[in-house]
Amino acid sequence: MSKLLEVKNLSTHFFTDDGLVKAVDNISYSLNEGETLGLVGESGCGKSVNALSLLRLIPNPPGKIVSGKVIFEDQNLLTLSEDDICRIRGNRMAMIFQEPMTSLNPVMTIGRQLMEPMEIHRQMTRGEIQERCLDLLKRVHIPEAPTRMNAYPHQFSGGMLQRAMIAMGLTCNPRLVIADEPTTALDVTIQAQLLELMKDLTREFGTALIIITHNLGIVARYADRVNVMYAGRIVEKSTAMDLYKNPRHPYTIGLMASVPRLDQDMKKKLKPIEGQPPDLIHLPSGCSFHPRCSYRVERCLNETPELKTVNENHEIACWVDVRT
Amino acid sequence: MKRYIASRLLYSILILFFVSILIFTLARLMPGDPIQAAAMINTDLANPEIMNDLRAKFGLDKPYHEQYFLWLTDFAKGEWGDSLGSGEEVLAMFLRRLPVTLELFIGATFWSFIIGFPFGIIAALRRNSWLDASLTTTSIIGVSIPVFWEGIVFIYLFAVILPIFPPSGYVPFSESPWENLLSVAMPTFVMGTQTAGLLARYVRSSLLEVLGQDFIRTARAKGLREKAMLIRHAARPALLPVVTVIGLSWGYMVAGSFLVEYMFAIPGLGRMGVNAVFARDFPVIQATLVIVALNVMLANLTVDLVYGYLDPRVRIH
Repeated sequence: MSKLLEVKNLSTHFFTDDGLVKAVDNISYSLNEGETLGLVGESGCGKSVNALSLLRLIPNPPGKIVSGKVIFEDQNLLTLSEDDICRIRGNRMAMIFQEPMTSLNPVMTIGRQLMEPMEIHRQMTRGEIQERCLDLLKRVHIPEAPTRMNAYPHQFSGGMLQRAMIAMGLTCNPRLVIADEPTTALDVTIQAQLLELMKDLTREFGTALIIITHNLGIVARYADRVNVMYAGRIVEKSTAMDLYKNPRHPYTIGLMASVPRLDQDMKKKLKPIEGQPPDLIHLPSGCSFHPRCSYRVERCLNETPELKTVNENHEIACWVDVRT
Repeated sequence: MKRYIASRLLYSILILFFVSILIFTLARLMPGDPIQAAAMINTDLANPEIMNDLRAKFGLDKPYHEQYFLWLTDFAKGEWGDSLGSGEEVLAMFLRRLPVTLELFIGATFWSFIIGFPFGIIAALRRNSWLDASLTTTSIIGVSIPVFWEGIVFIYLFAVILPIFPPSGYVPFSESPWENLLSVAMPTFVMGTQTAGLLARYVRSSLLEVLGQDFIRTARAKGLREKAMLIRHAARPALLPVVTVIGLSWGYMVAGSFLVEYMFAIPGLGRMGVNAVFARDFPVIQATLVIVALNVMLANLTVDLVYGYLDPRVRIH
């Protein structure tokens, strides 16, 4: 498998009135063609900022990508001209956003919004574009596609809007789709349907997928590999299988323990992670997780751990080996 | 959409009815009556008997509600009565002056658009820069300047010190297009200043709000260039609150036209209204006020319809 995306030492900072927020702090990872990567972490851990940074969609000011490289199809996206990055967006790399209700333009028909990526990136006639869009709407199971093309977002249900968003992301047959919490605004049955749909379509087209979520269940089911983020850094990197069998970072272990599982005794109490999510402006010294960590040692207070390999497909950033 | 239009129209008619009562009452609440006002100028009339005869002749001795219904039915039939001062038909006076005031309105709107929109858009796109700060400050000054003061300063600067424009007067377009434009340039600018400032402020804040919306990020993520994104995705939703402001200010412009026409000696409806008030010329005052109300109403109706056109959420349920 060839490498599609390589993120090297990416840092995205926000310069707010209250102080500097290192939303993404020196992270590196890579993704192969057709692979699905899960990006997990609690709200504010930097997973969305990380995704937006790839396409340079960080609102500036206050945000800025301060360092790093994003190598996608052998070119560094961070040094491209504005025109060139526009040629990648929606074409080679597409994004599916959370909150479909607000992520679609309320005064434009679904059809026009759906056709837009191809109008921008493809030299096709209107008829051809329309045909492809109708086909895609059928693929995402929107009934009566021809009439739905002329409908406005407020006439759609949340689930239908998210389907339309997925279709919109796929119109130009991108090599990478980033789905930013694609199902948080929807109820559970619709969530499952949409994720299956997304998985099927990406598999069929050989599209790589980055799923950003705080839902560990989604990651377990759909991702090949997982990056766990905490306070702007990747703290654990692993294949999905290995992560679920042997979580090695105290934060991941905490996350797993706080989620109900069907294969466990129902009477067993869930164990939350103690303390509060970190204040991003005043991060704790050393390892950002140390105030909430039950495995903490002296070293955690002073030194920030870097990712280190523990076995061939597992890396953690921790001073403690929790298995001993 | 048809039901929407019909309901807006019905509302307008109802409002107009209540406004007509208000207008009639207001005119009667002014101290003195037209006969008294006339007697002050022409002392021959200053005789109680003559004055009472005149009152009877014009129906001013009838009870108020009778006077009101008489006036309302006549007005609806297009019989607006004769001016108590000049004896001329009010409808004819109105029709003769309408084009003049309309030209002022259109001119003022023109100025406010070509200043307000660019100011607002540039300020929004260069948010928090020195350019934004200076444009916004200019807009606030524009909103705050009193019309009469600005008019006097403009006459002094551009008619006295630099004699580019005539200080006052009006030349009809049919007589000399060029001189017509020169004669309305200053009055329309003065009339449009406030709206221009208001528009700039609203365009800026409205555009900024839209640019912060999720769907703008979606548009960028599709690969739209900045300019295309602004035109295709931001313009229409950003226009919605601005349309309301334009409608409101079109209504407020009446006040401006009263002042401006008086200051620049322009024979329009505003001047007619002011003169009528001084002369207690009831038929003319009433007609003027109805026209003012009608103008506000039509502006609001237009805003509602444009809103329906721009926003499918209003049109389609």
